[in-house]
Amino acid sequence: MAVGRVHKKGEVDLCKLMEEIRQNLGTEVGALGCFVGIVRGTAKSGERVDLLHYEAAEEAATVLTEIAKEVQERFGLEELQIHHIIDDLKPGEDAIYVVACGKHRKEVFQALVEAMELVKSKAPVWKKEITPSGGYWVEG
Amino acid sequence: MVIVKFFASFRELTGEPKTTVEGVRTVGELLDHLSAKYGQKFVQSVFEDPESRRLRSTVNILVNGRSIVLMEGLETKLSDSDSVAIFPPISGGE
Repeated sequence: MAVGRVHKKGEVDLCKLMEEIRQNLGTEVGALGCFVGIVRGTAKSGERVDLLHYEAAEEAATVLTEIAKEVQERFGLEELQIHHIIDDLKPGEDAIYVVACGKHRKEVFQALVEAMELVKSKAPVWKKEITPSGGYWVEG
Repeated sequence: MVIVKFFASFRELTGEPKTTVEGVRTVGELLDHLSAKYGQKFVQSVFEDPESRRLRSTVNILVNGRSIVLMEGLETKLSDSDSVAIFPPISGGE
């Protein structure tokens, strides 16, 4: 299964998500990997980040699903899920979950890396760092 | 009527998430219309050099989901009910 979704804060719980996935795993699965993207408290400039504002186009969930499908097929996985939290997030809060399930660890690790690369370059999601000196869109 | 959607910094710059424009035949004409409506800040955000009409590398323009870079650039034709999206580079990160 390939899943791509966007959520507001509090709509997705990582522990419940993992539990749900584990309950439905096929007998062929020998590896489950998870990547969690967390809001950093320091901007590239070194300034403190008070808040990270995420904004997404309405097509974002569709694009995330397409990415999940592409990565799932490429690495022959049983499951690839991408859940992006689009909201105002504080440092330390989770922004994205990618969960991959497959036969062996190698393809699961590779899939997590590839999925994140595609999310960063293809998903229509933008973020604005709110720092003590103002708000700055993070571009590229 | 062409529907234009703005995202992120372009939404802030224009002060609205979308607008509609009538009577434009190309993306270039649409940008002229939007430049007149939103002023110098919009022009500076879109064009590297307004004289030569070279677009900034930091602006992405899609027509019905397809980048104008893959079509005819500013000469890309627009039809009634086309949807145009204007946005900055997607937030990358490392």
